Amino acid sequence: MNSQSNEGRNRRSLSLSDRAGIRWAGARYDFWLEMNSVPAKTRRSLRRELRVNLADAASDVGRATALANLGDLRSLAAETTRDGQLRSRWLAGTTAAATVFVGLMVWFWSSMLYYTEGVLDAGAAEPTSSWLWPFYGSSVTVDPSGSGIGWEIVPGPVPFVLAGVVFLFVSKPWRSLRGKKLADHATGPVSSFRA
Amino acid sequence: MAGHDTQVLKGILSMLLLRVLAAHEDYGYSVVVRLRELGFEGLAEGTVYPALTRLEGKGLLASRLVASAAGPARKYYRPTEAGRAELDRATGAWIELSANVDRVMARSTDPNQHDHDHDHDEREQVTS
Repeated sequence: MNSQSNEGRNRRSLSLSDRAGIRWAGARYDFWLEMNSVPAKTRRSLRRELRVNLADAASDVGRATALANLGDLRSLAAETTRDGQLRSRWLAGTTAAATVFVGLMVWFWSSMLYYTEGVLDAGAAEPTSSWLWPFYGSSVTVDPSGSGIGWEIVPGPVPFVLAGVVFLFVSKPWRSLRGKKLADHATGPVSSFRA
Repeated sequence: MAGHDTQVLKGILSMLLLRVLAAHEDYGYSVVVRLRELGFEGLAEGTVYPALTRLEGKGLLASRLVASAAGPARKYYRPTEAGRAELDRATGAWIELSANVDRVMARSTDPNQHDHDHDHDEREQVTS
């Protein structure tokens, strides 16, 4: 057994910025592994291995070359998990759904303020109601009759339904159901990796 | 040998990794260095590391952490029994493929080969 195969090579010591760069690369790799639903224990092991290899490569050929030879970390994570058992992507699904929901709510509130401005410009004295496109089922009532402006707002189901659809589409929860059936036959690195 | 066909390399990478690790156990970056020294200069770490992980996931490689004087522990890989059997199978397939490719290439580069084949076909027609 030879466990010292690359120890004798000429090496340069790593600077603080080299170490920081390697840590940052490890963190990004970890993120993309997480996006591929790699379990935390496996991620830690893969991240640690990458950092050790990167440190070795950086002390051999320099940090820039070492990182360049690694390629895109997103692709690296995808390649690493390519043959693995497909898992549900809960975090990715939640992130995507939350982003869509927040975006739609910002749109809804912007439309609501725009509508309010229209009602006030029209000089309405009575409460005025409408729905806001494309938020089917929404309802906005602007009441300028009091001492200030009163609103009654129902955003409707559209933001919730779209966020739910995005969550299902991105997280793919059916993989977990199918994964249980395949667990005994799983041979991929994600499912059987020994950390 | 810097101009390897990427697809060809991907097809044989597992065999190459099993072979170099069968010679002696090693860790990721060192495997890359060894393969580069053996002629695969353009081989990228980003190709080798996922392949090592996948081979381990398939049970063809086993690993252990070995403390290093230079820093954190390194993960050393070695072929399992299944990995050695796969290496034997892949080596046999490669030798056969290589021989067949050589035969085809030798025929297509021999200018007299076509005439010879043509004459042979004509003789067969006459005798029948």
